[in-house]
Amino acid sequence: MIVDQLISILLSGITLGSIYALMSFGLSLMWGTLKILNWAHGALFMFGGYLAWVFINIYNCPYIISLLISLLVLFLVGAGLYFSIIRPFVGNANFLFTTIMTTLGFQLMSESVALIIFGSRYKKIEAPIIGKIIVGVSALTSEDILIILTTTACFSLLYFFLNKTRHGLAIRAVAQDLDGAKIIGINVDRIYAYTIGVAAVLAALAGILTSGIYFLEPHIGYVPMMKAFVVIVLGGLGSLKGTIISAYIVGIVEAAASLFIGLIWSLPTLFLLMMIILLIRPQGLFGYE
Amino acid sequence: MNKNSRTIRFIVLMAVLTIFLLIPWVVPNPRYVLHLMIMFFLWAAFASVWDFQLGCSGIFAFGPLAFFALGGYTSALLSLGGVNPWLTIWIGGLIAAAFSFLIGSLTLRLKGIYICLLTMCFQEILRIFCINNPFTTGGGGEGVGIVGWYYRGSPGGSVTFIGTGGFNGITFIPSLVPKWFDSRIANYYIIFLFFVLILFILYKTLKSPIGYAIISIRDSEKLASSIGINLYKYKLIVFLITGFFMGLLGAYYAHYLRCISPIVMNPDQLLMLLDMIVVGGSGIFFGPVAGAAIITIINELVLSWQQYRLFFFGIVLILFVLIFPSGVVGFLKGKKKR
Repeated sequence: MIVDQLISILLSGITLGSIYALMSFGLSLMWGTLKILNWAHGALFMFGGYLAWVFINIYNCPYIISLLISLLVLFLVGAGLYFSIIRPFVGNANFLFTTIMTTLGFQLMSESVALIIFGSRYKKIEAPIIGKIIVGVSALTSEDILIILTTTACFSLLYFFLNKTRHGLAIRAVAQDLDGAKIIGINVDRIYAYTIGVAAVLAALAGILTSGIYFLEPHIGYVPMMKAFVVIVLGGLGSLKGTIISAYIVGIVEAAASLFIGLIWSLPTLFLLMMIILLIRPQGLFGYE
Repeated sequence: MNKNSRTIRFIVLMAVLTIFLLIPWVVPNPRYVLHLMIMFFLWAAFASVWDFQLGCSGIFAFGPLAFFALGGYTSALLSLGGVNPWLTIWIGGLIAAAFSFLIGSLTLRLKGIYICLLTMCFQEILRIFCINNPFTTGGGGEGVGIVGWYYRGSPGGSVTFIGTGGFNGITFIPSLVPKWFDSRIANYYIIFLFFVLILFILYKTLKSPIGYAIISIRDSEKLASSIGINLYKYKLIVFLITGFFMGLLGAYYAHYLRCISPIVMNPDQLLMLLDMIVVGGSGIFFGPVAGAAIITIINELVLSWQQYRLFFFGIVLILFVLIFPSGVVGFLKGKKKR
């Protein structure tokens, strides 16, 4: 009995954790380089899902092609977001809070735009593969497997990107030492835009994958964004490794909370967890002062 | 400032007060206008109180509506339990202040971003708590429970316990004014009194030694602490004052509309308040009031395009932060100086 429950918690926890890892990695990257908290992350999540839905269901593109097109578009949207509502404030005294305000405005605005364009009816993206794996009494559906595999592939690519390519190394350089990066001739402005573009791509990927298990609706991005905030605070702001680990912790805690306390209490449980962790260890589990 | 300009200021202030006091008796279609004015005074006072945190003391607390709802729910439940509403609104304020003090004492030693996230978390927890309504067996929505102190009698005579009321919230809250009186005019005077009182107290606080300490903390925390100002203590004082006023206004809101629901804590409500502060001018005393006037009027004008309202307010927020960072009042003041 208890083993079955543990297996089911573990499976759904890993699935949820993969989505949160995708969501929060971008946020953590942005905190590392720009020192901002992007409140428009939910909008990027939602736009990614809707864009893929449009390509699949209206233009009848294959899954993989529409995924790639929407990720490309979202990269541009992310960069555009930087140039329109973040860049004018770089260097301001109140940079963090000004950008929180503008990105929150963008988030609620784009929820409204999605409501106007797509309506409030639920939409779903069918997974390209079907079937399931049965483990004990619980099962991994094809959507769950797709989420876990894509996340693994995506983080492998990101590892390669951040450690081997010029732009990835530049992003890490800016995160480590802004002045040093400027001295060796890195175009910081462009790196900021790249960072937000990559974060937007990750959020959109999470959105597209999630629309296989949940339904797409204009307000879908808000709650995952809240959970991503919990994840990055838990893992320590700016710590990339900590973010991924704490994403899976949060996923498993959420799965356990929804099993034992009830689905409606999963978000309050996570917030309480975050409050307690912050009060005991303000720099997060894996953070540094 | 010389004596002459102070007299002029006093006369202008008195004239404005008289105009506002006379409004219920002179305007055509008073019920509609009075409702608008009540909502304007309510949100103007609330935006001013929130701006006391954001703009005047520089604490980016992002969950003001939690205290608003706490005051509202406390007062609503107590008054439905039979206590006089005139007593319960103050209790609502005190409960909100207590929670504000608790949240403040836990978070105010942390860095700004954590204060922002934790206050936002508190608001979300409270919103979900009120929607889920754990006091009843029905879970969300209206369920039937076993114990409780609030019973709503339906016309048939049966009694249902509703706790926090779930998504629909609490309804049939007793009004502050007795039935035989024209409740809207009375409510107008009450909120006007609260508005003047709250702004007066905030103004006096800002001009007192506490206020100077608070402003110095906003301008430079390091300098303030180096000259011996206890940062934690003054930030806690700010939280205590603002929490009390937020709870009081929430209690008034519940008794005026005679219903309160978790909708008051929605993010779009937060966006509207942010709009008021940013459009009027953050950190300027009459900024949020001017912003509340502008936003209330615009909100009424775009009422028929309800779908586009959030879109519009989002655009307004972004454009004002981009183009007029000091808001309308700040812009006008800056022009006069030059």
